[in-house]
Amino acid sequence: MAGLKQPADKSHFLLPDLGEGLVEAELIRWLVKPGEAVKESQPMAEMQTDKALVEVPSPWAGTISELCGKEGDIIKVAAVLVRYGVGVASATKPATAPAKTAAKESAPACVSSQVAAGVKGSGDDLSKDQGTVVGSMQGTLNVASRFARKDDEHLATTTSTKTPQGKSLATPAVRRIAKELSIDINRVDGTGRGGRVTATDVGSFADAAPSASKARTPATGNGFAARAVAAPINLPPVDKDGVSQRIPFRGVRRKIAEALAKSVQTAVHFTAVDEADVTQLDIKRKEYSRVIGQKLSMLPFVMLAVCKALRAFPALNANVDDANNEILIKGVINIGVAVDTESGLMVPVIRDADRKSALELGTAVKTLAAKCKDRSITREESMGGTFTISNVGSYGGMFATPIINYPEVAILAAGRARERVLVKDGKFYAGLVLPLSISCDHRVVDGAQAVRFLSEVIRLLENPNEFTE
Amino acid sequence: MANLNLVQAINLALIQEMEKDDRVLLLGEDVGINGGVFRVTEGLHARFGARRVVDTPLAESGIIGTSIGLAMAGLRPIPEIQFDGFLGPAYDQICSHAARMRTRTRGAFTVPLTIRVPVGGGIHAPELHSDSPEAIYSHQPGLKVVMPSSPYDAKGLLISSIRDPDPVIFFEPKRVYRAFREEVPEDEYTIPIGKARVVCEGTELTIVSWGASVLQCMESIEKSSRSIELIDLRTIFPMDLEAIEASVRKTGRCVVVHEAPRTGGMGAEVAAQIMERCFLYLEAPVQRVTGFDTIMPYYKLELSYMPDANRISGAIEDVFSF
Repeated sequence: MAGLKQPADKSHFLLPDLGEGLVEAELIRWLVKPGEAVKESQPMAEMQTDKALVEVPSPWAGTISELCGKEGDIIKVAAVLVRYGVGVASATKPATAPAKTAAKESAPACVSSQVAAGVKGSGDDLSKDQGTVVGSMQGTLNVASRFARKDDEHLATTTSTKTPQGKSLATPAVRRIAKELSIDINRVDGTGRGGRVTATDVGSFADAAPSASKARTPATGNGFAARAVAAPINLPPVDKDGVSQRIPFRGVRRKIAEALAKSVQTAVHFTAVDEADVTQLDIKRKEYSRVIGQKLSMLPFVMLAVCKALRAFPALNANVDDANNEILIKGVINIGVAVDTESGLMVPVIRDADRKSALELGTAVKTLAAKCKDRSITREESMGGTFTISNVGSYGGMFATPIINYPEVAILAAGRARERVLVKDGKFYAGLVLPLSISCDHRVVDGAQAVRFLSEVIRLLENPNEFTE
Repeated sequence: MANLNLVQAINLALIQEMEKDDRVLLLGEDVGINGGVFRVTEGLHARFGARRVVDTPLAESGIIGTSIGLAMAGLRPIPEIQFDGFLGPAYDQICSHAARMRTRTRGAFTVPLTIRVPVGGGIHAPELHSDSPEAIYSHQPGLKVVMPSSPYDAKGLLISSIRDPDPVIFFEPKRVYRAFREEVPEDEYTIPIGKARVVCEGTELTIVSWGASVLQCMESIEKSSRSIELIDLRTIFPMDLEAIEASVRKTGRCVVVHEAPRTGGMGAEVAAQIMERCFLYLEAPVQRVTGFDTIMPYYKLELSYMPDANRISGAIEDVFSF
């Protein structure tokens, strides 16, 4: 940049070298208009070099009389970029011919791409430098701004040696024990020398922490972790039968037990399992979530497919009235959704699920699940189901043998969707696979019918355009 | 301020120190009329004359031996050794005499000598032209070893080296010579020997590097989503252990990157210092990304030899997944 001589009369501005040894740059956008008064250092144009978008500032204050180039033009280094006019101050009046001709007498022609590059000032002693006698010097690079030198950096180069806050001191051996117990070592108070965390500290912490933090302890491994922490962890006290806690079997747990026992004793259960390739559906789900600005799980989409399939297979959308020896085919579709709560399983019901959109279903599931968890769910909201879906996949698992929510006649369990290698037309591909298990009351639904229904659900899930809006 | 590359920054530092102090003189192979093998001394012969910019025979032992004598007699010689690999013939003078003279004479004499040496690979040069011998001279007590990675640091460190009362090996990474330009003040400034630069701050991992490898570290950091602190040692010996300690205590993880061979390289020293100073803070073992324990290969393979952003990124992930 130093080598290029700008005109002393400030009548025009030559494009300088915007990088190291660049010969040209693409004009992306003008930031000023003819007739506009500019301040010194005011950006005039955005230009793209080989590596970066650069704003070219005005080297002095003045009034722009002419822009030499269109957006998209390649401008050579040392070509005229803009002309300045003296007293051309009107912003409404674009540059006029007199300004142009006047300037031409003292400046190179105003062309954008033909002007030869390589105009270098005589002041740059090193510009003709070959670089090296042996080997070759090549390549340039731009240093990203995050590595840029700060002002007066050399005045203060020493960094603080203060001990960082919130970090535990521990030997790698102790860190390993903590890691194997899934304990964040920085949460453990150290009682050792200089406040360092010892193996005993980690053991005590593990003992005091809820069982969840210990859940991932490897069962055996190489035995080191177990040996290292066996001593400090105290087992809960047990009675002579080895029982550590006796819980009365009542309340919600008792109700769940009674309902399930009644179902198993009454309905004749069988389970069929299959898998759906939900790769396309998952793409659709993500698109949909993005459009509505709200994350939706796979469950509402499975519900949509189930509702549509139930219309084709009404026998699965039924209740059994054992007292009156009747099978009640239901005209409405009310889908029960299994919800896991601290008190146990609850099954709130979404009414007229077949008339709801994925977003409405997702919202309904969330609302009802929250009500179950804070125990504000009403009896009515848990009754009148015609078919139940258990989304065990949100916790994991593959296939299941779900118990029918009697007096309904069928229940579908969706496992965890996992990416898998699939085969189609003799070719491998990666896809997202959703495992599905359906249990039916064989008294009402035969195996063939159950599997046909399941196949229809899968066909829909694999062709999301058929059931999603 | 001027926008200079590393060659120009050193040229500027030499001019300014020679103008300021007439005890400063240059000597070496082709440094005079030719302007130096990398053009670092371009224009100095014409400017300061043949008595202060001295072309010497091809005899490194003689260049350094002569310089030691000049320095002990009160001058400030700046000998240039054309390439890292040519330090070999001068090793005896450097390590047997320059490094020991202060101790040998119980402080009566020092050797204010700055030995400029283009260092490292990356310019497609033949054998003996691409070595990284910084560990050899860092291991010799009595020497200071400096290796800037940028034009700004090069100027400030060279002036500090010239003014230092003891011998300094001033390594100039060839690969950086013309790699990029930086604003370099024309005013006088110095950068203290023994102070590292925190190039960018981070909280999850520290990279310690020096010389041309610093640029590869930047490239790797740019690609990473991790919060990485980059320390450019700038001076290999005496090493800025406080800067390393403060950073690794903060991050708990460290990768050391250098172009020199691995075994006995300065990366090993950094790792050992971290073990001694930061043991209780470490989340993972210190990893090294270095050249290999082989002779630097000819130029077709040199890029495979030198640490690149991919190898550095691999080490970063190894540390995080430990």
